[in-house]
Amino acid sequence: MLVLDNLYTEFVTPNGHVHAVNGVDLQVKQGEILGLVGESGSGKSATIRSVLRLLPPSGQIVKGSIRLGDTELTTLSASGLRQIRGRRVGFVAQSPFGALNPILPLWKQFRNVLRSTGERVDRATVFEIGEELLGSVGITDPKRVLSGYAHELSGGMAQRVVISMSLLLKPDLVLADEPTTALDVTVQKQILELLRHRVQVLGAACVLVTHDLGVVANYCDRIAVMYAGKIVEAGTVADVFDEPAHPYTLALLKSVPQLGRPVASLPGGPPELLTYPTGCPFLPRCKFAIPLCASEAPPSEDVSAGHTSACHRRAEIATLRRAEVDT
Amino acid sequence: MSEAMGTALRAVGRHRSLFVGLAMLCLFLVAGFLLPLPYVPTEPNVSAQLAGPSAQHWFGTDASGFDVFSRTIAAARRDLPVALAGGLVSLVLGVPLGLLVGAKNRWSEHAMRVLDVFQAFPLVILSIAVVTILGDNLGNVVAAIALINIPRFMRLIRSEVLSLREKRFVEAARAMGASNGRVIFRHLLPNVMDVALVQFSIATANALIVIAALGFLGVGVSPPTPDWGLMIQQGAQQMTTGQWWTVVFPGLAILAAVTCFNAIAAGLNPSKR
Amino acid sequence: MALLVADNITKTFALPNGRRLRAVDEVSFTLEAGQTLALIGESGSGKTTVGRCVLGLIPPDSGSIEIGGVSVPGASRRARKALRKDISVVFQEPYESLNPRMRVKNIIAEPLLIHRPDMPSAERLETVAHIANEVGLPDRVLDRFPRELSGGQQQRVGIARAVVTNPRVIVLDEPTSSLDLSVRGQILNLLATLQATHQTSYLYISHDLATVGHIATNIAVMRGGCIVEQGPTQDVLNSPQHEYTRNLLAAVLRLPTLY
Repeated sequence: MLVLDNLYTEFVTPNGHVHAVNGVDLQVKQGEILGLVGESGSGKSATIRSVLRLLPPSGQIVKGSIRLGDTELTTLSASGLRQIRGRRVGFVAQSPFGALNPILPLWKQFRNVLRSTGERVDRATVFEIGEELLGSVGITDPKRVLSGYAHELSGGMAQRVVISMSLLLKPDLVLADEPTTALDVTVQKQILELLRHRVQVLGAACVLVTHDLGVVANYCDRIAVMYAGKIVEAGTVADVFDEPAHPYTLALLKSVPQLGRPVASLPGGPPELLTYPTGCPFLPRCKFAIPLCASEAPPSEDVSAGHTSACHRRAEIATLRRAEVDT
Repeated sequence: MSEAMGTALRAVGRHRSLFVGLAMLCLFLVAGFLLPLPYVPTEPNVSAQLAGPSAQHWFGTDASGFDVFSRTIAAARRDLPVALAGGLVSLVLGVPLGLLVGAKNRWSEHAMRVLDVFQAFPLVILSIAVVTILGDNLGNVVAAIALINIPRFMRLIRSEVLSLREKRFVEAARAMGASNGRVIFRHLLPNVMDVALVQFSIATANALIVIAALGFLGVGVSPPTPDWGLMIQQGAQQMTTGQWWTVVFPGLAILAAVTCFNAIAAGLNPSKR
Repeated sequence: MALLVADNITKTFALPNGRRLRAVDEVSFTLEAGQTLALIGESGSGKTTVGRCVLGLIPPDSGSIEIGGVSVPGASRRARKALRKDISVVFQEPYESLNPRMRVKNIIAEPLLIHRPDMPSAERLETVAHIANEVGLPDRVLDRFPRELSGGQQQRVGIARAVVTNPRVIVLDEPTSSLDLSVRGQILNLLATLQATHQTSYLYISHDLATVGHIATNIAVMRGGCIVEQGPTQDVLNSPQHEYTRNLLAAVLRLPTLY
């Protein structure tokens, strides 16, 4: 459904050009939830926002293609994009209150979304559709919520409303940018369940951007790990979590706080992307580095069917990891 | 070497407003204080009254035979420092008062209402009133400017302080045992200075207009002192008979000076960066 | 006797709409020297308010808080200032907790200026450099401003500032929540090392049970202003007694393996 091919996005800052996205290849099929994982500076948000061109004025796509079904998004005009947004692609942002208009009652916001297709909808229809949708996302009194305002809702409820609004026009693709980061853990589970369920019912493709590997392990079908604007590892959740084939993925997995073991640490920090290094961008922090890593950027190649890794030593990571545990 | 030049030029390009404003200000100050004037501004050349701009009198002469160019430049010598003084007094008094009012809750609301009264008066009217009551001299003009601008500073600083007070680093300072004085001077003050400086430039720009207006009305200055406002007033009568230079040049000078301070203010404005 | 004793703290806030919110409801706990008490709760549980009460920033309505036998609320100004030397705080947002106009070295030095004004400046600079080194900050950042540092480095500055007076208790309010995953481990390990070296006690406030599993001696779970369960870490994690604790544990998203 969604194919990103060799995408490059840059931001122009007073200090120079920040290469936020550097040759990203990504595919998401219908009915599939892809977890896009990375830390700050990895380029995951920039990648997602490039799809809908929701970039700040300083950001621009410099190369590559983004195909939604058979529509090429990078060459779409502004009006073309507007057709796509909301209708074929739904967006759920991190802060639900940022996405909801504080001064309009919620049913009017639903109405505006419905109206964007060009159809005229009256209040009764809005309520009918809205109540059904809100009911399906677990809101107990949809009529009251629709008549009310965003600030009357808790964070969890507001995010449910936003999710239902993004699904209102039955999009083919849903992009969720850290949808549960701002929510309490007990609410997080419910929201993720909800998102997964609704996406599967719709048969839509979904990209879930997160820094939380636990979320990916439990709610995504496939995972793509980003570092310094590149996808360093991608594959099914089962494959990648069973046999991570990139040192960064391994380090991240060890850094997730889990009951039963201490948290490992990774020295250093993500690179600033003003200039792009020649070799592998993870080199300064990698404990398995070899001289080749400095001179040649590792290409993204298959480790097994459907499981790629951008590391020269991709085939050895499993062995190296076991060796580490033994020492 | 050229790398450093490149970086410097880029920095200038980013802060165009600021550099233009500062450059103009330097020009004014140099011209006003260091440039040797072709003619003594207060000695008329009686033989050449109302002469148009020429090689001898670049800006022409006025009805009394004064050289307009020399007087325009000389007026800068008087008006600019007064405006700057007014702005400075407002800054020096307004910022601490604003900090105090912002830091203390109890009577800040009432204080703001009192300030509202002052701010309700138009700049010029209030200055005339002050100068009339207190006396017709430069010091009182400065006082009038300060009186009007201090409420503006206080209001601005107070609103900055109200938002700063809630910030984590202020809370951290209190948690480590910082006294109120330390919080105000070490944490609040440095973080309001950028806003205060912008306001200073704006206040000075407004002060220039006030001074010009007062001069135009003959308040605070008497002939033959060169003053832009006064020159415009005296030259106004000649406008109808076609001798535009006596008014236009002082007017352009005011425009340039005010623009220069507005440019500095725009350049300093932190929200633009 | 325990180092920090909180007994029946209650704090109610008046809301703008006239209602009253009982943020903290008869909360009691103790903290021994050199140990860590994790205060776990979600938003609205009152854990942050408890932290502020312990720091003396908010006076509780009733109940007592004693550090080393000295009562925190109601202390005289001099006593309170002395207490501030012994208890410090690390906040969640690394950048927000640092004065953007102060250089790093001055930020770290400030508690020394307040509590040891008699210290000669050379000694102070040396102490700052030593602490910076201990928390893993390279020398070159000492002259920089906070915005020039990464999130992890900023939090190290916050930690350096918190330990420079060698306090007996440090209140840590979600110190790693705003940091990247790969950096969190660095900070947690740093905190553990510092505790081992200086025998500092930590009141570690967090919403994440998984993070505190390895650094907390005891855990207290808060909800709606009350402590619903309290006890040694392994007990709480392995045999939770209260339903809410079980919910929290269930909500921790687990990875397939322990890596």
